[in-house]
Amino acid sequence: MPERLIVYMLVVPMAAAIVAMCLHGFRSIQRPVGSAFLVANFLVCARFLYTVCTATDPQGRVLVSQMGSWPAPFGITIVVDPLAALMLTVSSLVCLAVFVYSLTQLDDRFAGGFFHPMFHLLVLGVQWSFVAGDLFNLFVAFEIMLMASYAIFVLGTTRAQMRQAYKYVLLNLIGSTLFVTCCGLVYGQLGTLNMAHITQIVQDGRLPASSIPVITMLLLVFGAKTAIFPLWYWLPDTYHTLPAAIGGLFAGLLTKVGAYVMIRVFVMMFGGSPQVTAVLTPLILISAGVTMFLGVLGAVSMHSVRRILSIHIISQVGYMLMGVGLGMSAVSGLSGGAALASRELAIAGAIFFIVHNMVVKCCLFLCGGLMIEHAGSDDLNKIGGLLRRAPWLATLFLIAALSLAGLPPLSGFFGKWVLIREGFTQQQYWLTGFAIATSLLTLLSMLKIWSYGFWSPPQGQHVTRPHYRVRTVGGIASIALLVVVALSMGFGASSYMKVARLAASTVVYPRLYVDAVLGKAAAPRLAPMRPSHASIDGPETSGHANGLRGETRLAAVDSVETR
Amino acid sequence: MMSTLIFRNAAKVLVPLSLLFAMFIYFKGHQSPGGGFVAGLVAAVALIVHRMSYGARSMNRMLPFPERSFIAIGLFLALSTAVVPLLFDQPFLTSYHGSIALPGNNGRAYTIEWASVMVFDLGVFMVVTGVVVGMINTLSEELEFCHLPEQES
Repeated sequence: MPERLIVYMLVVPMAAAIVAMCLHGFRSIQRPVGSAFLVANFLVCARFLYTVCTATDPQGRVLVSQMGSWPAPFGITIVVDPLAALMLTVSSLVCLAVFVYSLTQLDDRFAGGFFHPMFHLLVLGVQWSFVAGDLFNLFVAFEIMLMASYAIFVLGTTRAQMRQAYKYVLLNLIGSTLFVTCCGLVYGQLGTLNMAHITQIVQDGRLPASSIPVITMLLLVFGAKTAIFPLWYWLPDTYHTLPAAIGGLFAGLLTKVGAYVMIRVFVMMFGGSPQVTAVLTPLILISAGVTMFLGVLGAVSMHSVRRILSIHIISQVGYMLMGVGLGMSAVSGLSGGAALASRELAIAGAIFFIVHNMVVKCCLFLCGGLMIEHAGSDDLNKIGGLLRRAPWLATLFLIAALSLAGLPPLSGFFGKWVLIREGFTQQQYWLTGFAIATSLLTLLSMLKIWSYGFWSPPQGQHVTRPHYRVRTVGGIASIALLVVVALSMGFGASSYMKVARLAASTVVYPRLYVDAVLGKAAAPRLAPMRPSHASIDGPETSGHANGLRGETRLAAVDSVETR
Repeated sequence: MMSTLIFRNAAKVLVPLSLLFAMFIYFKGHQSPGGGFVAGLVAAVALIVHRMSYGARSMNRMLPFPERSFIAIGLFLALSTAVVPLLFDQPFLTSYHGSIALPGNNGRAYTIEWASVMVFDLGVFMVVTGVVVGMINTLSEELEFCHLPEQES
């Protein structure tokens, strides 16, 4: 498929949102149409993952499209490299599963209104964050994702939900303000926002020392979105107020987008600068240790299924952060090639872990939803005996839970194993110790849900709902889909790890990415239709689509002309 | 609703003028400051002034279709303009432009420039109008609904 078609990853969800908006009120049509769009979306993503991973020529591993034929450091660039393609494929699969689950499990109170268009817009925002080629577009993509999540958050408007939504919106608004401020500062210092261009500047050693505080500020922004140690407080209270389908969607995608962006920004863009890594790596590694350990302690102390799972998200984020920290790693005792190889492996482990976590976490949330459906509550003191009542659900839950805990043949093991091994290689003994302890405590808390919820004799009131059988069958099907993917990640770990290592190598050795984005732009493949009044027309045409962007780029073009 | 005589008569003049001004900004926006976004805001303000003076029902009669459809149609226009270049082997969002020569004026031809971005911009215009009018409508419906019982009693 030609390179310019990578934009289908944005066109398909946006078209789905428009169609869903037009079909507002006709839910019986919205459902099959929405499912069809999500299947198409998954196929497009998988197709490009295949293209990127099987490319014989290393040049073919990074697909680039310049929007509106505007050359790279000035125009909007969309990039699909193995990392982005892997994330896109798995996230689109998770979206599909959640959508199928929501068809039968989400009450009309939630699924009426504008759930469908907002769902597709959320998908658009997530996918755009994965393919965005510059910081400002990343900001716009985050905004789309967050706007859609605000709207989905308040569907149903219960009192508890509104109280938490207020906190969530406020915190994210502060985060967004900081993010756009950082974009302005980076642009002021480096004269560009294009990720490839910034990477090149960093690799050439032209990063001014004054930009280190700005980069630390970016850590704050992405840290708040990813829910890392000092900035996590919004997450455990918010997610458990949501219905399971929506909670699963948020748990599976939102924090993982933050983790992805951390790899992209701190490892790929700024990982080549020793000054930056010397400042950030200790911060990230300390935060990783505290995040994973305190997170899991919180989970062990909780006694309701959804709360345990929500707090677990934080503890899992700790592992991803550990991968990012080891991937930047200026503090290791290694040197030269060995250090680079260790960094690459750590990033591969983090990528594998993120992918595994998207699937498994979402799956567990959906299982939690069905447990509530069966038992009428998710308080572990009130429920029990679900093993006899819902043997299928119990089986699927057990597989997913043990994957999350990381028992050897299952998917969670491999990501953690690579991370812990690289932790030892880089002599981070404390952190690695915490990682192992966290893993054991995760197993403990998962077994707690299992033994109280499924194994213990039945207690509490069981509800029977109308259309009971049909409702759970739809839910079980989507959970089964996710469990199958998780199992394939465990038993086919070597092929997944191969893709993850490919993705990690393009991040740790960003030469390929930079050349693909900037090199092709330099070649004269600009449109024959290129307008003569370039400096005025260019920023105007796309300026409206994303607000401030026009002015920023006008300034960029001006500065080049005066140079 | 603020239906004083002065405001109503002012609105009679202001609304058509503002709508005309919105069109002016929209057409001028291609090569100088302006464009679909600002034009949409101006048009929305005009509609809202009309709503304040003559009421929601009168404004709804002015609109060809409900304000929410504006958003969907606008997004559709923008997306379809952006997708068309993909069919001609060009990247997403590529703009086409040219000029049309008109006969007349003692042999000297008038030329009108066109660009495919105008359709995109029209989409932006409709989205902005739809969003702003929709928001104001929803918020003020709530206010009007709350005040209703007090006025009756």
